[in-house]
Amino acid sequence: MKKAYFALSVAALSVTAVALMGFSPAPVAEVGKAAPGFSLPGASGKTQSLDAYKGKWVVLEWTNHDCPVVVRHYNSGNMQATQKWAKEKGAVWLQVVSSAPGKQGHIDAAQAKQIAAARKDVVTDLLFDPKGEVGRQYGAKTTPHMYIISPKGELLYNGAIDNDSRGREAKPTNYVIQGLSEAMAGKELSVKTSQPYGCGVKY
Amino acid sequence: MALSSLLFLIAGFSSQDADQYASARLLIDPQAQKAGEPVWVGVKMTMVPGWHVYWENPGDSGMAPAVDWTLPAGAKMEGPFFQAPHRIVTESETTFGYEGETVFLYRLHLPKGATGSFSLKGDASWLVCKDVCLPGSATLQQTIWAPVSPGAEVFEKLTPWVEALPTTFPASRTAVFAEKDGYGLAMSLRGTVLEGMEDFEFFPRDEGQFTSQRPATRVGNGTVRFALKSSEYLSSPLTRVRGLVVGRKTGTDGKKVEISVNIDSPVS
Repeated sequence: MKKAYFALSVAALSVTAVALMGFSPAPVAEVGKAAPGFSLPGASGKTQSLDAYKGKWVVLEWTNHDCPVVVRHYNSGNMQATQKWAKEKGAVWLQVVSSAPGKQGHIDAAQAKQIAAARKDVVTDLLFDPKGEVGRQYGAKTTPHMYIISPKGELLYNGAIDNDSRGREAKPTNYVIQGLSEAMAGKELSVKTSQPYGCGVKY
Repeated sequence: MALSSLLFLIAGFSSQDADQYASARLLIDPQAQKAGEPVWVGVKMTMVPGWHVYWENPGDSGMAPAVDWTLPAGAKMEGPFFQAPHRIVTESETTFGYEGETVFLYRLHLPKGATGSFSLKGDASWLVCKDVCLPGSATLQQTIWAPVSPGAEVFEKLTPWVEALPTTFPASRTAVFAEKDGYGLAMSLRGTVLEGMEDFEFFPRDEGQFTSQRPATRVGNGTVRFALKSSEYLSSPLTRVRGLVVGRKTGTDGKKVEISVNIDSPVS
């Protein structure tokens, strides 16, 4: 009895110590489990919740319009083409900006609209996560960092947009298009996670 | 037309001159070369304080510099060979890279019996980051005379950088095995270059295998053991682990000693 109590209090102390050190809680998002719910303001003016999209395929794209890797994907048209493909398949596409105020990539609704128009983004909305809560729940590490969520709300994919971190491959494998194609055909994803690449999210 | 100008305008507003934060120079050191052996070529990068470029495995984010070489006919370029990186730790991420300065080394194999002068050109590109990340690039060019003579342009000796490169740690002294949450790495140090070192740090050479945080390390009885936590992106068991281990100690003269080794081990 005494031993158990001691172990419990040590554990409690460690948890407290960790919390005091300011460590973020471990990400909740896990492929194969329910994707963490969220409710964030969008550039559209609407508040967007994951719940509202039950029954739809959802793609999340963590982004920072100033990150050179994001710029490469938009300048080449690759990201917009992927967005368009997903839209044509009936998927919802939500960009998420977790940059903290004052940090690279942090924008307001007016700037978001300007950038989207100039780049010809094909997205449902851009969501503002300046406190980084949703980013941390999803374990979003880089921009870009991509997630696919099934109509039942299950997280199917977590990782890079493709296998071409340098933009050198003649025929890169687009993990978002591949993953959505497989999932929509009722198959298991051949690539469920991959090391995301890009700039660090500016929490 | 107007749209592309707008794109450029938006990029122009927010981008900065990356060359302010990192610069690259091409170094060729004939002193480091013995006749008939490959020539050491270095891309020396110098960063403004607070800014860093990345190692071959950048860690949680980032990208290592890359060089596209234009070589004379029949020549081959081997590399890059990386210096041991440092861990760059922030609240939200851990990456592997270099602050201050570093040299990315290459070995140029000239065709047998090559003589005369020729041009070596490297198109270098990189990501340099502080709290923002900026792209950078430079075209590096140098005329070389084969055989490379002491008269060739030498800005700086590459020998210290070549000597600092990690050496191969004997496979017979290395064991990697699956354990809870990941893999254990045990190294037996007696009689190796790491013998006598006091502090050890492991860096994974391949992306997507282990978490970037510094692994728990146990030193004792002439061995060092690392507890390598599997990355959330690791989708199947590992059969092979490649890493870089840095050993450090403070010598009797108060001088800091740092030695790095590469390990490449099958998983038992």
